[in-house]
Amino acid sequence: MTSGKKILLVDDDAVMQRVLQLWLRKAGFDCVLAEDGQVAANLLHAGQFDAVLVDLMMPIMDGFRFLKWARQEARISTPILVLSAAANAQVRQDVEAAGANAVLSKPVQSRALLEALTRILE
Amino acid sequence: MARVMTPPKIFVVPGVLSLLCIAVWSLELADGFKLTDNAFYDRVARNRPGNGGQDSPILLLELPSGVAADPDALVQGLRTDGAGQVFLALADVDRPPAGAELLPVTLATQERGVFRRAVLKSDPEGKARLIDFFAAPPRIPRLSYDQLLRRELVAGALKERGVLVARSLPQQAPGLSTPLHDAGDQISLGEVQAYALVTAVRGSWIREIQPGMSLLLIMIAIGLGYFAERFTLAQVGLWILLVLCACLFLVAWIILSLSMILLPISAMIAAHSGAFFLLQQRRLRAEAELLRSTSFYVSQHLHQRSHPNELADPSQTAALLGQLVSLVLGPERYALWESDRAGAFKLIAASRKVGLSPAHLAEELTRSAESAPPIPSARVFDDASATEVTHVSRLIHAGEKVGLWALSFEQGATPGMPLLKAMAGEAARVIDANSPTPSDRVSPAHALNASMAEMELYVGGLENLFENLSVAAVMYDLYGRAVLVNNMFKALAARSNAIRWQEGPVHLLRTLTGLDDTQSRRFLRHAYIAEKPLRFAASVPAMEARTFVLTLSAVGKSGGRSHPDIVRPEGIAIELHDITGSSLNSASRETIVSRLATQLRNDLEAFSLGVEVLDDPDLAADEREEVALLLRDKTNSAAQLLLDVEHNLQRACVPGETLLRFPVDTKEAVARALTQIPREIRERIDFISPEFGPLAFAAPQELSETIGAALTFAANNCTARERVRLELIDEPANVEFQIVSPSSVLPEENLQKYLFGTTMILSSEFRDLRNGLQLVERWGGTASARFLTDSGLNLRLGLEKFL
Repeated sequence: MTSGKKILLVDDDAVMQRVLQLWLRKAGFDCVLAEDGQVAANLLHAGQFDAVLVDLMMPIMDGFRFLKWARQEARISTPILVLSAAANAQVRQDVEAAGANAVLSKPVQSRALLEALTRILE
Repeated sequence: MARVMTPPKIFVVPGVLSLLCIAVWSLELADGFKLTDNAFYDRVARNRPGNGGQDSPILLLELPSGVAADPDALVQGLRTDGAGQVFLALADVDRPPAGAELLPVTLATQERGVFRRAVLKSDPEGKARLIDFFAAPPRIPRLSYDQLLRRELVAGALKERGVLVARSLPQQAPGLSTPLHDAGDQISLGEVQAYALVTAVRGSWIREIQPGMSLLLIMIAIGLGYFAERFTLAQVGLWILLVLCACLFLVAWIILSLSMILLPISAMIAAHSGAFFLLQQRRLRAEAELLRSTSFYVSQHLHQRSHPNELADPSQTAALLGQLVSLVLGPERYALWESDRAGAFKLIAASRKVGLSPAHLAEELTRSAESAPPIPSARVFDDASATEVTHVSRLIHAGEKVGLWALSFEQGATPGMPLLKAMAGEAARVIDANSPTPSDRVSPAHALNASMAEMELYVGGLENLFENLSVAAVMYDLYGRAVLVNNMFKALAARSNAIRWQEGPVHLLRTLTGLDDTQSRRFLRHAYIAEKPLRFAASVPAMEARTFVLTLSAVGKSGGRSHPDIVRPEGIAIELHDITGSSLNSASRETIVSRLATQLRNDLEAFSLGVEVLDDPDLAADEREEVALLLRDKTNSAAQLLLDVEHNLQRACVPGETLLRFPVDTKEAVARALTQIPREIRERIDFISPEFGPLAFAAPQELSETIGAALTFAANNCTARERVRLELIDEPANVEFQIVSPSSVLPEENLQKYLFGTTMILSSEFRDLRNGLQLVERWGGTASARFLTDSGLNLRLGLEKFL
């Protein structure tokens, strides 16, 4: 069901980018990389994606600002899954209120990540 | 150390009072007070209302001198006219005719020329009694001899009355002195005899107190004197004495006037006054002794408190003094002399050979008091250079010249006069304390002076210490009055009008802690009675951004028994500790831990997914190698992160540095700054920041103040109501605060001159920002301010990033 779905992966950490890219490919997703929120915004504006997987802590435009831009300014309805190492209850609440479809705390189990992606893509 | 707790027993009070009583009584019995008692009686007699006058039982008929009257016919005539008894006091009549009798009283010997007493002829003891003189007119009624001859007596004038027939004095003859008249105003012998006769007929002799009763009255007077002295203050004692004497006098007067009893008033007043003065003398001596003991105690106590133990050893005094002078004043050369009471000087410490003799120096010093010529260093010290300036001064302690010092300084390096004076005082005190005959052991007056000098130095030092404490403190006495308020507390009160320390500790506690009055009183009592400090979280109105801890503690109670005669301040101290910096630093530490955990979780994510990717059998070999390499790099970077954090934490707070810096959450610093600036400015700020504020090296509170100053500066220097943009930029090695105010118009030259130059500035806006920019640079950051025609004012504060 997830096969061939196009995912925009937004993370400033090169290792995470590459590892997640390989993992997503293994899971059957197509993956496009963006190193910060600003790049992601441009890509999202220009192309069609089935979902966005975004980290919160990034330079220039962080995940939270990207989320607000996508939902409030660009009015984009693409499902967005937020990954964060600082996803405490308050952050989770803020992110969800800003329009995230799901929030996962790092380190995340691959099974949970896959389930979350499958769920938001339904 | 011996403490004198009770007044010394100078003499036993009851014994002395008994001796006084016996002495006064003996004097009374020996007529020692006769003169004054008589004077008292005379005074009362002249002023009291008489009981004679119209109803006198005796008429006085004075036969003119030179008239020969037949006594028989005279008596017969008087009897015929209705006279009662007729008394003859005629020298030429030895045997009274029928119907008459000789005068039954005889005047006693005059006392200092005054007739006061008479003796009843019928009294076998022949006791001289005091005649009841009465001064109220018309005194003794008289019968004129001419009237008698002309038979012109008023009908009934003689009825039931006796007549004393006496002979009047010749016109040139002097009269007799009696209590009724002052000197020079005398009356006839017949009239005196008539007073004595009236007193005898009436039986109204003035009664005098028996010896036993005198003793009792003297004892009562002594008792009054004792109580007057015992229960009154020394300052009003004399007045109490005079009032009691006046009371005794008045009572004696009334008793004499109404009851015809003459009290031993002189003896009583003497006994009363004597007791009072003896006891007062004893009290004064006891107080003097106590004062001496107290001054000795205070002196010794203060010596112990304020001198190093080494100063107890005279051999070390000089070395210590030399160290003291060198350390505090740092002279090029110094010399210290001790002088004895004879004025001889002895060199006790010197850094170089001294040229001029101390006696010569002292002479010059005396002369310099008039003309103030400088004493060249070269004359005082052998090897002084031409650029040295000498300071020569006598060392005086408690008014005593105890020594002399000479100090030379390089030009421009002379300490201020207050410091020189203070050190001269200290040196004098040490020399005096270790001299063979220290001034405070010479006499009580010197002891007191010395003690007072010690006390002033000590108390002055403590007050100065209190004034300049780095915590805000106020001390209240037990009446709730503020007795000491230090500078920091006054400064705090000046910033927050709600702090009205003058209104007492309860009000202050309520204002700062939010406790109600009842709770405040309970805690104040507890702090004082239990002598255990109590601490409360406190908030100062108008300074809500800062965090305070309020400490309540008892003052002046500890230390065991205190000397009963030394005033010790007792009360409550309230201290306010500003712990804003500490609490912010603590919050920063929590942030560091949280950020570190986040970063490690982030790294673990890579490992978790990376391991799974590596497990994929379909993974290409080059990709497998790439992932393995990436994970190894990640491991290294995580390890490096931990090392960096440890290193940065060590760099954060370096002991000994004057300015401490900590990892500060920059976003929180901005949030705090926004709460500290005025609302009208806050509402014009657009704040842009990442979700998580990076940590940077700074001091939490000072960073907020700097940002606040920058925002205020930018907002106040642009077109009214224009918005100001603050952006927090997270860069790899730095965190930058960028403040842009597009509508600001400030000359670039002025901006640089006032914000980064050394020009003195009066504007608080410029001053606060300049201080803030300097702080940023001292934290290792960068600061810049530019005015650009297209973008307006542009302030950039860059800080070194921690994590």
